[in-house]
Amino acid sequence: MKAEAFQGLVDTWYDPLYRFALSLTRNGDDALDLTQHTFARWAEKGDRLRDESKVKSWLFTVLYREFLDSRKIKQREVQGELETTLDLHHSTPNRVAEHLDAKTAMAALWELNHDFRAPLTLFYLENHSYKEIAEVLSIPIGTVMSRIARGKDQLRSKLMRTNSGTGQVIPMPQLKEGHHG
Amino acid sequence: MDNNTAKLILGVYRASGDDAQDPFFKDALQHAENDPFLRQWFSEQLRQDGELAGALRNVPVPNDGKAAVLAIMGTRPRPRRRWWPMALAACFAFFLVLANRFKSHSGPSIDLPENATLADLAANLAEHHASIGLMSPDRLRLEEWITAHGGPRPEHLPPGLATMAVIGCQTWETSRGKVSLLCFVNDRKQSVHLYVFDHVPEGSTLPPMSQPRFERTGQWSMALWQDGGHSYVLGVPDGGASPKTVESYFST
Repeated sequence: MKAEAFQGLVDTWYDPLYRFALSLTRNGDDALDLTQHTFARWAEKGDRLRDESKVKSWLFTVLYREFLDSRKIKQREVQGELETTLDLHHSTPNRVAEHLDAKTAMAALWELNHDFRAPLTLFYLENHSYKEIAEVLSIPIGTVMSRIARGKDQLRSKLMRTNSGTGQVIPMPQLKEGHHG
Repeated sequence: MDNNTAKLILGVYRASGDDAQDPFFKDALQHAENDPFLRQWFSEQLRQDGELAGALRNVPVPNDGKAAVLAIMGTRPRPRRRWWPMALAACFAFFLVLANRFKSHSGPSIDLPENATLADLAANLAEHHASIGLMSPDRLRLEEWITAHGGPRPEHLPPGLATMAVIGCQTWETSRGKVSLLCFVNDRKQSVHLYVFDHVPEGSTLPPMSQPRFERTGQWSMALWQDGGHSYVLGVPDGGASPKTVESYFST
């Protein structure tokens, strides 16, 4: 692959892949590593992919498998590595999804079980279809539907609970200032 | 179709409208059209999905990660693969395996020329064994990784490197001992490689870090010095770099 083409690929997919990695790992450094490993895989094997329409699925699938592999090695969730906290009680509105910001949405997503978090993130990020989600996560379409439905219910209740004034503290990573994708 | 089934199907309908022509949703959409309660539920669902999707797409992404990927993997076009280099490599690997079976001890993972200078060794590693074991912008994390993999850890860095963005590291077991690499990116987005060699004979002849030896080897402008029992080679590939660039990393 030519350098310009690779740069185009990185420009197009780095941000959504990083956000997917962040939702999975719940840790900024691990998300960086995971995203970089995904592009390293592409540099090794990407030219074997003949169908350009499959690039998106290929990248997200590789990232997800890398995450599963790293999780097997670590055998842990990374809650202990979250770098700072944000008290959402004082910063969120009274209704679900009203003036919803990135931090609140990601924090609520992080509270979900991984089985729901992965399909929901793919659904919301980069407009993945139910078929693409099934392909990336290697699960049947019926499972995608039920996990998204249940995930949405859980996400809504997390956001409502947060908004209802329970004062729940949701951990957030330190977001670097001036870096926006 | 009852409302629960319709909700399950419509739950994966994208707020962008990209699924409008997908037959999978046809019956559920029709059902929502005819049922006021379901229609209202679906409308609210789409609104919330749109809000959540918009919010998640605004999660900030650190720019240095993208720069690191491009610096490491995107700087040089990959040559087109042909069958014969693969066949040659396979033959070579086969003979290597055969040769190793007759050795009484396990050899190092990389054979480096015995008579080569440290600068040649660094250029050899850069040009023939380019790889990164861990990519991270956190220098402490990289140094810990190097230590965990038994590589020589850089103790003191030239002033110009101490403030430069770091992107990854590697260690090798070679016929000339353990070698570590810290990879930086300078403000011109060039890769800057720092190789640390463990106790090589030539190291004792090198000057201290305060007065490094500058030289050009192959396509690389280099600085060499010794510190704390380790030998250091700092290399910047040509193509904009000059010996003066390398020298500037040592001025305070």
